[in-house]
Amino acid sequence: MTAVTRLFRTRTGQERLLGFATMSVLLFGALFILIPFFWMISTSLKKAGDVYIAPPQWIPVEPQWENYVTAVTRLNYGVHASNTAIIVFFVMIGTLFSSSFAAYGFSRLRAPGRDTIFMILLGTMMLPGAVTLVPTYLMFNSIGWVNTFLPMIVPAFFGNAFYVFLMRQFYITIPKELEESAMMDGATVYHIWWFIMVPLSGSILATISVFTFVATYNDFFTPLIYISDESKRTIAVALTYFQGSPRIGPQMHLLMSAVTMSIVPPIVLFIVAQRYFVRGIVMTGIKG
Amino acid sequence: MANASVTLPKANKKGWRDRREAVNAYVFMSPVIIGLLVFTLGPIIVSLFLSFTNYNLLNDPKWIGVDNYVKMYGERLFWQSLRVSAIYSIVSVPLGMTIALFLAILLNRKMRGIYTLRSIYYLPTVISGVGVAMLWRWIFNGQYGVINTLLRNIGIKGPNWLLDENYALIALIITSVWGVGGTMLIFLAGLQGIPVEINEAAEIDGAGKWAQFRYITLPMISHVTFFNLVLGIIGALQVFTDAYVITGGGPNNATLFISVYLYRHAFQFLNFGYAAALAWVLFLIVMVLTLFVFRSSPLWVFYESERQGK
Amino acid sequence: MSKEVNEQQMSRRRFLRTMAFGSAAVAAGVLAACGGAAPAAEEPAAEAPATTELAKIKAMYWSNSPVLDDNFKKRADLFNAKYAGKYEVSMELLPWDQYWPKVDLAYASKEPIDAYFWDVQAYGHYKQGLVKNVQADLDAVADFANPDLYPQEQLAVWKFDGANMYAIPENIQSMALFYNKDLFDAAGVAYPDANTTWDDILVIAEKLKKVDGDEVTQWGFDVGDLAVWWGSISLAWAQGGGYFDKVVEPTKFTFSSPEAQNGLQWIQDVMYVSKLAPDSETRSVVGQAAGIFGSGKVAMYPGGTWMISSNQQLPFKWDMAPMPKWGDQRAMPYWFGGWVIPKDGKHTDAATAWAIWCATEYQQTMAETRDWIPIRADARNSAAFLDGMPAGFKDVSAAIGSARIGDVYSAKVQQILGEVISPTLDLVWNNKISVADAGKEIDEKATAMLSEG
Repeated sequence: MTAVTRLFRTRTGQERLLGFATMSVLLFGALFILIPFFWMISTSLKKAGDVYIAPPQWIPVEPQWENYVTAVTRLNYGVHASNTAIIVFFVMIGTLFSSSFAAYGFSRLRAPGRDTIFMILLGTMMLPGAVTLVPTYLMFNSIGWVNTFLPMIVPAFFGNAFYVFLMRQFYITIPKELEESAMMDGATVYHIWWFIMVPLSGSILATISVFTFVATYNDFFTPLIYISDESKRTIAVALTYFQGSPRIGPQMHLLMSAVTMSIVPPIVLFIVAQRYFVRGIVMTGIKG
Repeated sequence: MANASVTLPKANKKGWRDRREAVNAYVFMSPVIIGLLVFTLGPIIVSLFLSFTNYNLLNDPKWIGVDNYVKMYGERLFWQSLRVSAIYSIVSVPLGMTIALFLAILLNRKMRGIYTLRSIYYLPTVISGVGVAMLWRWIFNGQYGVINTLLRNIGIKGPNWLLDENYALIALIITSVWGVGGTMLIFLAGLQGIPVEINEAAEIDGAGKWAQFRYITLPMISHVTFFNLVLGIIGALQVFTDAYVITGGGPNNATLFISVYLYRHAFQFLNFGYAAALAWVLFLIVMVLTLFVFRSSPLWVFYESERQGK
Repeated sequence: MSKEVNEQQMSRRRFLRTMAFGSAAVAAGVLAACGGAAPAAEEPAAEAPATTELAKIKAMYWSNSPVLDDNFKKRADLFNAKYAGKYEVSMELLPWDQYWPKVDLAYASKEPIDAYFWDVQAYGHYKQGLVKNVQADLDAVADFANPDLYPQEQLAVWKFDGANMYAIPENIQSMALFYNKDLFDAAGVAYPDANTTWDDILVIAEKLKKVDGDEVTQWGFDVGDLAVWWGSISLAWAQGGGYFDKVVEPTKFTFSSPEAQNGLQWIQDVMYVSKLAPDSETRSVVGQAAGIFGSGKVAMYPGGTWMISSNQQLPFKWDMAPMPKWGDQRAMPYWFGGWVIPKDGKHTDAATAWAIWCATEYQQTMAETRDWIPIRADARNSAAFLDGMPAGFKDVSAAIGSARIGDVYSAKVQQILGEVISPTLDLVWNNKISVADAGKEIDEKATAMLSEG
């Protein structure tokens, strides 16, 4: 009996020590992660002249909060933010709809060639984007979509390999019994998808939402290539305003203020969605 | 748990029912099929065609057969770019995955502040782009950069990261490790999918932590590892923005990733045909590697329920 | 045989186009079926039947800095006000790295940008026969032939075919020696002037360098834009040499010529032997000379005159002098800023009107904003311009008359610069190879690439 107690006691001791060690490692790692963010915010609060000095100022002596005001007013931030919001909104709707819809076909209904199509779909993930850019541009240009949001939004309604894959993996884990009983009651597959599968997919949809949001929000090249009017630019593109040119350097302090502001929405979204997000990934079971 | 079988039934007894099911399947898959045809396969085929042409974007392409591929074979920088991408992938993928798994294990416990910590580790993946890349250029600066300032404080003279051929690629690998949060999160999800009872049972049987990790955790998350590996390979071979903005391929082509090499030819040197050929080679490399990983997966990926299905 | 090839090409072209249209049609059909998903397809608002057609054009330039960019937009407003109802230009400014891809994509889609800002890349467009010959338009402007107003000899560099201009110049850029007056005053050293030589620079820099133990707290000199080939070439020129045999369609590179070698050696030594200037490692803090100069820790640097307007905001007193001499010879590069007009643009008349307006009427306003150095001599020498310029600008402006074009024109040049010259020179600036080895390497590889065709 005493031996067991002792073992038990040392075990808690061990656990506590392990917990402490874990925490230390994690905090140290978090420091590494946060340094660039810290540096970004620190730079964003410096005077133009203090950015490039040695030794570097870790914390600006007089924080220049007006850098943020300057960045916002110079950038026409509101306009770019609403453009970004429109694009992100429709891309998310399109992606969620098309990915979950298509995934149902890929996971539940049998048809000749289904798995081949799926493999081809996955194969497209391996294709470098630079190479399809030119033909795609020519295509969108020929139908007059250049300088509209359509080249960003419309493809989202036609599925995305990675998200279809995640949804399919998720649907596979849902027991078939639910559908079978609905089928007995005369429900069509479309009813089943909409009334049974979609309501069950909250967490995976949240996961995909976060991924989609981040990818669309940060996408720089597509809107840059397709949008000409400044009034239609997105935040990611607008940030380049402070980037300077190869011969004239960047406005580092303003650039960093703008970047700092720009990362707030994705971070907030992640924090809000975090719980569903992790669960969403857990539930896909991610099986090859 | 029931799993949808991926293989088609051999016997077709109820023909019309199967046909109706197939029609429905195609309806469901239609957005993806149309998207594939229009937004992906169309452009892919065009780019395949372009890879056999001399195309400078300005004028119409001229058919030159396999010249681009032949030229590629003789280009020193093509082989250099392959080498850079290979080294980067071979180092950054396993390194990133190991660190991600390690972090995921540490983060997979109930502690105060664990949600905040997870968020912090995930933070780098929600931001991207040129601004961040410029920030890295700053951070790696040999004299005034944050990293070397910190190293100096502990008495180490840091290298001249971005200007030294031997360190520039390492610097980029470090930035990739910084962004390991996504991989970590997927591992974390995998870990949370392991029933607690299994570890408890093993513990009662006297298995140590290491044994539990080696014989329970690793096999149980092998499908997640597989998933991360495939995504990691695809990602590493296509890495572009960081390399382009932080080092621009230099110094002395030490960070000339195949994607950077491709971009230069496509949009700076106006050899778009050649760039298309490069893209196809890159595509084939990724494809072969992925297939290889897929083929090898039965040897090391453990599926709880799918085993008997195969 | 040739007909067959031609037909083959035709069919490929048709194939490409059919591909694009086919895919597009499918996409459009599907989109229509989906409905509602197209919030952004803003059709241009139906216009009232106009009496004269308003020609709307797009002018494109790369982004430089918020102030300069904003002035470009104001410029467009001025033009639009003047030509209200007839022409309307909208400026698009985008990052340098994406500027050329977008110009090229526009060509690829057969809808070229109406007017875009010149840089050497546009020579490739000329070579493909895409650029409008603007000689007749320039001839129609009486002043253009006036050598007192427009520098005829230097303009001739854009006559790629020997007789006709293919771009419309609006500003001129060069290099100068920028110096921090406060640091000179504090050290009691005389300012550099039009007679300063590169040898003098070493002597002056020595006096201005300050150290604190191992650490340099103030540098006498910074190599600035000498780190780029178009900067360092002035040193070779001043000795009567150069980097290539001719500007338009060079046939060989001459980086191993003694003149080129001397110049490159001078730059490498000032960083690594005399250590009067920060080395590449230190310089890369910013990647930009102006940043180092802006920190107030560098006494002088040779840099582009495009930095004048940014430097105006520096918190210390500074001035400029012409590029130093090598022995008794001075050489410096010049460049034109100007507009390229695609031959097949939709509104070449409007685009040409814009470019000509920039080069003539707008010159005085350009002088007043002082963002760029106007090409027109009367604007450049007007009080409105000079009053806002540093005192030393006059000497610089006078020296521009003898400057040489800092470009090289060949369809291959981007690749040669990107794959051979820049990386090799970087090794020199990082002190990784000797100037002699670099010269040999560049000449061998770059010349070979020229003949590759």
